[in-house]
Amino acid sequence: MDTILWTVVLSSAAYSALLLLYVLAMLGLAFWETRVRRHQADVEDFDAVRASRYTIPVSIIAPTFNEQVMAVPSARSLLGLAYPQLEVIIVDDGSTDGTLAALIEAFDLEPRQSFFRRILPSNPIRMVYRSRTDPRLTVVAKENGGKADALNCGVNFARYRYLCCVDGDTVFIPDALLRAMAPVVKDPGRIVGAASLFGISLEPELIAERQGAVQRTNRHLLADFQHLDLLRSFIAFRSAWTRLKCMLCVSGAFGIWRRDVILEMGGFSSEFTCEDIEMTFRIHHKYLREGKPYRILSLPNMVAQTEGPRSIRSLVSQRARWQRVTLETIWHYRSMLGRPRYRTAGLVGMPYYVLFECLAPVVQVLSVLTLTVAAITGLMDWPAYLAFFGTMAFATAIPTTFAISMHDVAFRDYRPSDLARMLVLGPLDLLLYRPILLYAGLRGCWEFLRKDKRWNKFERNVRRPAPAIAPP
Amino acid sequence: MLASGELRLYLVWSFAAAGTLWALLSGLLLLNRLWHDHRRRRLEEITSRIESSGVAVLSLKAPTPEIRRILRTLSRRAIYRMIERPSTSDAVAAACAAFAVERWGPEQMIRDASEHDRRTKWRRLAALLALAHLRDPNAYRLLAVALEGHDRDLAGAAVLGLVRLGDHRAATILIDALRKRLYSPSRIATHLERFPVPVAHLLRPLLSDPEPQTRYWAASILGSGATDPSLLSDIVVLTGDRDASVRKVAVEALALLTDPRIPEVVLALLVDPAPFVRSAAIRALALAARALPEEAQAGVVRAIAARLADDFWEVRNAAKEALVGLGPPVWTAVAQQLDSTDAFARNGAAEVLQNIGLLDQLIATVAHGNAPDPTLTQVLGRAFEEGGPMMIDAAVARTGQERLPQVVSLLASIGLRPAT
Repeated sequence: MDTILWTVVLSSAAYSALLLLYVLAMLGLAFWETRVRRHQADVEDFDAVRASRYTIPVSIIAPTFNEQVMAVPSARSLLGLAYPQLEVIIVDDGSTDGTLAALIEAFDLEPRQSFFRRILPSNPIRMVYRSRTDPRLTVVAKENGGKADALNCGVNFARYRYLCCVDGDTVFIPDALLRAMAPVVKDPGRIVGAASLFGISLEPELIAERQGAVQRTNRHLLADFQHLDLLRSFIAFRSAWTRLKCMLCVSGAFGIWRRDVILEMGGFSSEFTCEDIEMTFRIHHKYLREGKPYRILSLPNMVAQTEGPRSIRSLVSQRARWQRVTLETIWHYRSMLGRPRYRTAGLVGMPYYVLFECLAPVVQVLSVLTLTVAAITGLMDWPAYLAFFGTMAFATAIPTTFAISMHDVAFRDYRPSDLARMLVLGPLDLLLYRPILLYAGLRGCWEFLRKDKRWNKFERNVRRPAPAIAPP
Repeated sequence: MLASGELRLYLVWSFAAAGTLWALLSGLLLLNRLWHDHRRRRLEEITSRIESSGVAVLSLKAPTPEIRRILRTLSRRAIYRMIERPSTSDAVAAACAAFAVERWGPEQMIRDASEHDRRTKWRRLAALLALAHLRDPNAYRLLAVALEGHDRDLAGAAVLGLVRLGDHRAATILIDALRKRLYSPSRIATHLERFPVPVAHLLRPLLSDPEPQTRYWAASILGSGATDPSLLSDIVVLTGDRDASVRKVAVEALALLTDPRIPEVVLALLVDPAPFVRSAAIRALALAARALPEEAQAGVVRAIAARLADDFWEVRNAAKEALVGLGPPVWTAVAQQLDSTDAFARNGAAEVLQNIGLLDQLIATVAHGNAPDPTLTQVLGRAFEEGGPMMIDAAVARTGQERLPQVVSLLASIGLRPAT
């Protein structure tokens, strides 16, 4: 029994050490990538790109479902993007609340028959709306079919060479598209996809209105942990994977795709719970197999704020879904794992996903249980037990500190007080936030085994009432 | 196996070490940030003082004592960073460049701008821009070398440096880079279109270059700002180029010129083998049609309306948009397409009639109690038949509830009814 316990304990320690080494290696690469991107952004003539008639036009596709609160602010931010030529296609995927009515009122929409190319299959369209005030805006009301179906519908309406697929609950800074497209327009022949960092906020529309280029934490523990989690993921992993040419997840909240590539892939798939990571894997799989030159980037600029769940229950639902889709995708593309034919995608990216995403919930639960049993049985005394978790808390906080540091050195867009808050949250992450993700990960694994495909959309956060205006 | 006490000792020490390391790193991060904010405020103050000192940008050869006093507290790296950013004003960038040359010597600046390893690449970039600010005679040669190198960031900076120089010699280097495809042609073209000195005479010879891409970009840049009537004949020749992209850009350039001969030239391209040329021709014709006499305009409209039956979606779409842009006067030519044998032409015509407001106008006429014109009623019926139930429902929705009974009655009179 002691031997078994020790074996498990040492294995857990080895797993943690391996993860830490991987993270530190990725941070090193991310440092290099972020530094290069920062320099490039520093010397980029954005005014010329903004004013140029040669800047590649972009079709922005925003699927929405029951986004009565966020649809209008999100659409306003898209129409307010500082980019020379774009169109915005909002696809209302059969909302049952007042989403469509809110959009109609806000943008003076009128219904119009609009013939389009049915290149990708999607559920029937009920009506197409055009804005009387802004000809760039089209709203397509269709029967519910899920996000992938809505995206494919939007692709059918899109007229430009590049697509920007976004979430209907995300609010963008004015320079979002300009900064994301700047590297793309320099190399449109090779760059087929690009993502960029976004933040988590409980009320993104207020954040975007208030702060402009300054980022802030939410002063809400759960939201701030999510914000930190995303920052760490983008900075530590996705930037490094970009440098290694194995960027494996263009997030659905903000993803730029070359339209001909999406059509070549046959559009987004409804067979997976989420469409974003699967499309990224599919492109790597196909292009590496065929030996075609291509690049998919993740840029470190924070371009938007998206709504994050306020409650633990909602967060668990969301993260279980993410775990589920990760497992679905990894299982579907398991042939890439460890094969030199798929280069760094198969040799670096896939192993990470298998070891540290798919297996993580099971390994972590086993570790915690084993250590607890070891403490209970006296194999390990309680001070040692607590010291172990304390060590892990700080050890996992160190890469977070590096990630925050790299972002701050590159962009200097957080206030020092918010930096301090994020730093303090680092060691608390393991003790307060990770258990939630652990549970969500286990639930996601269970849902994957049960072939559950539900979206489990979380309820929109209740908005604070506007402050009362004192009478004159 | 470790004894319990030994394990505890190791873990406690590990906890202390990890915690200390985290605290140190966090503290360093915050200190770095506070130091950066302090330095940024200083730089803003320095920038403000330089700009208010009345520095003449282009004639600056040596820094004034005041500028020396302001800048000598900064490191070479900080000064180079200020030079390289496009957001830095010309006055400040020039002042920094002059100071850098005086402080570290022109030979050092030229060495910095000449070559680099992985660590000093960005220093080379800033040095190139500094030499451009100073209009140093070596700048042209060094910028040209950077443009020909394999590093895209340096090539991009070289383009900015040449734009900064903004004279004919710089334009010649840029145009040569465009011809050799040394850097993103669209980026070079963007700058050439806005170049400080006229460059048309340098670009015109490229219109007959053997490379189609070179002809393409030359025509595009020349077309955007063309005011010279003699350019028209050169561009008209390009509408017969063997390369379709060149024909397309020639048509787009013609669209921006005003000459009564243009419609005739462009009309022939409505049947070009390349669909994107046909689309460009449609858009160019729509722009030119507005200035034509009525009869000629009608002919152009009929020619565009015929493209509603094109095999390619982008051409049909261009035709629809062009016709909508020309407004209600096109309705008779478009209505004829309702009887086309081509289904795309029929539903495209219906969509155009919807978007120019004809259907709404007819419905409103009836809703006000006026007798509908039989011909127009027939057009309405045919348009709705081809437009489908969604077009009917959309028209009804646009009409409004108060006129709904009259609209339903009108639709019934032509054998139609709303689906919802």
